Amino acid sequence: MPVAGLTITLAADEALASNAITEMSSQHEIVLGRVDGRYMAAVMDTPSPSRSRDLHGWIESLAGVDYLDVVYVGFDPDPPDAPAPQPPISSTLPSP
Amino acid sequence: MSNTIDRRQFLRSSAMAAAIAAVHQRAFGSASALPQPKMTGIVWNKAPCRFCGTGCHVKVGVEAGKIVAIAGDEKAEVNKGLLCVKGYHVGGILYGEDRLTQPLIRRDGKLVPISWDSAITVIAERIAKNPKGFAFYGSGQWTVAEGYVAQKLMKGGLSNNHIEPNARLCMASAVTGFISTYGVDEPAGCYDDLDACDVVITWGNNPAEMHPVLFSRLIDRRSKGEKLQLIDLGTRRTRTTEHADHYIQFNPQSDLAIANCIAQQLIANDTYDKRFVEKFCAFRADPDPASLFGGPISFDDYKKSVAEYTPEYTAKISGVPVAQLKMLGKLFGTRGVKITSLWCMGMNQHTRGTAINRLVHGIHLLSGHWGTPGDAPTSLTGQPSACGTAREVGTLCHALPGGRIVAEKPHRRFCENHWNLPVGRINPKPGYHTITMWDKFCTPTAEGGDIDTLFVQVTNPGQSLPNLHKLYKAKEGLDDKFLVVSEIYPTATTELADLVLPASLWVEKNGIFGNSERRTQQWFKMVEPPGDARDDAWMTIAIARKLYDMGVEGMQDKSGRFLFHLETPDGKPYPVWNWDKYYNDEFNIDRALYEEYRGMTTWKNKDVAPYDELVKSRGLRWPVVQQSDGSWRETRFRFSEFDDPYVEKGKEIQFYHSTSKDDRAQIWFCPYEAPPEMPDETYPFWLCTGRVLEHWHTGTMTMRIPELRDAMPHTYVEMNPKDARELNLANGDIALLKSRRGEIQLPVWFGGRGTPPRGSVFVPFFDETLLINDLTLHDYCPVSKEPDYKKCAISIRKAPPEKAAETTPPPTP
Repeated sequence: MPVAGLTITLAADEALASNAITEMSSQHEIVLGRVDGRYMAAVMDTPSPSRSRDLHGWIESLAGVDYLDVVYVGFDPDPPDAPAPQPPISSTLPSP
Repeated sequence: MSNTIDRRQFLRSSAMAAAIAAVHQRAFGSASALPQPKMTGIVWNKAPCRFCGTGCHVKVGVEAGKIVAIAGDEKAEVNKGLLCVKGYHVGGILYGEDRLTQPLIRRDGKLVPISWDSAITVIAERIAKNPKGFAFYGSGQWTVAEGYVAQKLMKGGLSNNHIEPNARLCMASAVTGFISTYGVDEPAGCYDDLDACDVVITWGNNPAEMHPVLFSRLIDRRSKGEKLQLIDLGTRRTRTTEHADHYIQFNPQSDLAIANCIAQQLIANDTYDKRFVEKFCAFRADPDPASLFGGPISFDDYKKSVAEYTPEYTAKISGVPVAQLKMLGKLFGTRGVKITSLWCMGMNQHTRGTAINRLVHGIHLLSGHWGTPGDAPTSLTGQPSACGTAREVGTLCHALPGGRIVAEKPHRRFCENHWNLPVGRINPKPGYHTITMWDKFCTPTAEGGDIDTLFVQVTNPGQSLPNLHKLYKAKEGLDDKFLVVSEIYPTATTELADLVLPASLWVEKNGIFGNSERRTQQWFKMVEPPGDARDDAWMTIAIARKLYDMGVEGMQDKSGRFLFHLETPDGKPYPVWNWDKYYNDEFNIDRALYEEYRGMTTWKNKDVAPYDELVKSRGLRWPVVQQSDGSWRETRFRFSEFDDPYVEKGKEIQFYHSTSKDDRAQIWFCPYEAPPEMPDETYPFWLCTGRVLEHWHTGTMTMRIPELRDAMPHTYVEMNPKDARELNLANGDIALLKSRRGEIQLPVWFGGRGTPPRGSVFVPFFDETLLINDLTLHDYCPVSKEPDYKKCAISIRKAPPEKAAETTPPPTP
C-alpha cells in the first residue's frame, strides 16, 4: 500500500554504513538509490501501513543509520488491506 | 489492472526522484535539477503543510480530483525537501470517513440537517438580537483571509472586540515577551540561525518530536561533521535529550531563576557585553501589578535585583547543580560562540510566561549574543498561521491588523479610514480574552454570563481549553446559550454544538499562512471540498451579508456599501457572499482580501509581500521591500543593518519600535515566583501536558490517518519507573489521576519516549476519548492571559479493577 521515498543519513563509520546498506538491500520492499556523501536515497514499497512502520523502525535501528527522513508518500486510493478509519467520537450525527 | 501497475510504478519512480533530490539538496546544499516523472492526469502544486508552525512546503499530487501523493518540496528553504511523519501523511487529513458534509442543527438533542441559507439566518438572527453577546473564537489555523474577515466583521462591523484565536493558549506569552522587549512582535531572526549557530539551547522545548524538520536540520549539521552543541533545559527527558550534549533538568517554574542566574553571573564575572548594552539596551522591571510595558530602571537597579540569583541560591530553587548553572553562565559570557535559544509551549504556557520570555531575550541582549546569524532568541509556533493570522492580522481581543491595538485612538482611526468606516465605529475597550470569553459563555446569563452566542472556527476548544468542566462542559443545559461550530469532523466541540457547519480544509480552498520565521506562504485550491462543505471566510461574509440585508447598521461602510464590498479589476462590485460565485477564473477573492489587508501591514514595518510574489515563491519573510529595480526583497534578520532595510545607515543595530523611544531594546528584571498550584500531601505529583510526534494538537486530523492513529492510538500517562513501582503500577496498568478540577483513568507507560523525574508525570492531550484538560489549571499569566498547561498538582493511584475494566486498553510501548 504505502510507497515512501526516504533519505537515509548513514553513520560516519564506513564499515557500519556498509553493513547497513547490505542489510537494507536484502529487504525486497526496499529499493536503494543514489548515495551522495553520507546520504542515500531509497524507496520503501510495502503492503500495509503496519509493515511500513515496522520497516521504518527497523531501518532506524540499524547501527549504520544515523537518521531517517521521509520525503515522499504515495497514497493508494484503494488499499487492499487497510482497515477503515474509525471515527474517534460516536456522535449524534445522522448517517450520511 | 495495468493502470494500477503503471500507477504504482509511477509512485515508486516519483518517490525515488524525490529522495534523490533531497539527498542532492543535503549533500550539496542546492536543489537537484532531476525531472519529476511525468504521468498524464497527475497535477503537482505547492502548499505549506497544514500542521505546525514550522511552515514546511509540500508538493501535492492530485489526480482525478483527489490527492494521490505528497512530497517534500526541495525548493523550499524551510524544509529543503524533508517532511516529518505527519507532513508526509498530510494529504490523508481530507479523507477520513466521517467528514462533515452538511450543516446540522440540534433539535431535541440530535443534530439534523439544515440548509446553508437557514443556518446563516439562524446565526445572523442571534447576532442581531444581542450583538454585544456574540463572540468569535478562531485559531492560528485560520488562513490570513479567514482571520481578516472575522476581525473586520467583529471590530469594524459589530463594534465588538470579543474575538480571540486559540493562539491565546499557545503564543500569547511570546507576543507579550517580544512586544515588551522590542516594541514589536515576532522573532528578529529566522531559521537561518539554525545553520549558523554553535550552540542551541532548548528551553522546555522538544523539537525532536514537535518541530522534527527543524531538529533534523540541526542534526544534519552534525552528520556533515560540523560541531554543534545542544543543551536541553527541561523538566523531563525527551527525544531531544537523546541528542543533547548537556541535559539540565530543572524544577517546574524555576526557569525564571535560571535565566536570572545567567544574568547574575554575566555581571558578577564582568563578562556581559558592555558595548552592546550601552549602545542598544535599556533596563526595565514590572511595577505591581504587572503590565506590558512596566517601568524603566537603571543598570544598577537591575544589577541589585539579579544579585541574589547566585548559582548556589538558584540551585536550591531549581534543583540544577551549581556546576551546570556555572556552565551556562560561562557559555553566555563567551564571545565568538554563537548561541541560539529555542522555545515553544514550555515557556509560553506558564503563569509567568511573559516574564520568562523577557528574561531569555534579556540574557541574549545582556551577553551580546544577538543580531548576527546564529546568535538569536527564537520562539517557535505550534500552528501554521499563529504568526500570520493570530498575530499579524491581529485577531486577539485587544488587537487590530498590522500590530495596532484597539486602545489607541490613532490605530482605530487608521483602521476606520482603511475600511471606509465612520469615525468611532471601532470599540476602544479590549474584548474578553479566551479564558474570560469561555467562562462568560459557560456561566448562566442571570449570573453574569453575558456571552450568549459563540461561533467557533478552525479549532477544538471542547478538548483544548484548560479546566474543561468549568470552561466548556458547563455549557450543557444552559438553554439560552448557542454554540456554532464550523468543523471538518465531529469533535469534542461539536458534541455540545447547537449548529454545526461543514468546512473546507487546506487545499480544498485558497489560502495563506504565516509561519514562525515571519514567512508568508500562499497556496491555491486544488480539490473540491466534500458534499456541501464551504470556506470559513465565506461563512463569515455570508453572515455579514445576512445582517446587512436585515438592516444591521454596522454592516455598511460610511458610503452605504456592504462591509465586504469588493470590486473586480474592471471596477464592478462582486457578490462575494454568493457561494456559487466564490470561486471563479476571473476574480480571486483570497487575493482581493489579502491585498486589502496588506495595506495595513507597513506601519510596524511588517510589510508582507504582494500576493503575486507569494504565488511565485515558497514564502517570503517580512518585511518584504521593493527594490529600485522593481524586485521584492525579503528580510532574514530584523533590526540589523546588514539585512534590515529599515535600519538607518551607520546604526549597526536599531530597535526602531523601541518602547523607550530611543532605538533600544529592554532588558527586563522579573523575579522568580512560585507557581499558583504545587504538589502537596493530597496531590503529590506535577502534571505536565503536551503533544507527541504522531499527532497534531487535539488529533482531529491525525487520528483520521490510519498510519498515525495506529502508531499512537490513545493517550497515556508517562511516569518515572520508580514512582510507578512505588504505586504498584506496571506498564499498561490503569492509573487514576485526580486534580482539584477533575479525574481521568489512563494506561501507564514508562521506559518509552520520555522520562519524567520522580514526582512528575506527562500526558499527551491529542486523545478526545481521554480528556486530560479535565484536570488542568486555568490560572494564567497576568500580562499575556495565557494559561499554564505545564504545571498543576495531581494524585495518582492504581485504578480499582472495576473502573480499570472500563478504560481503553493500554498502548503497546
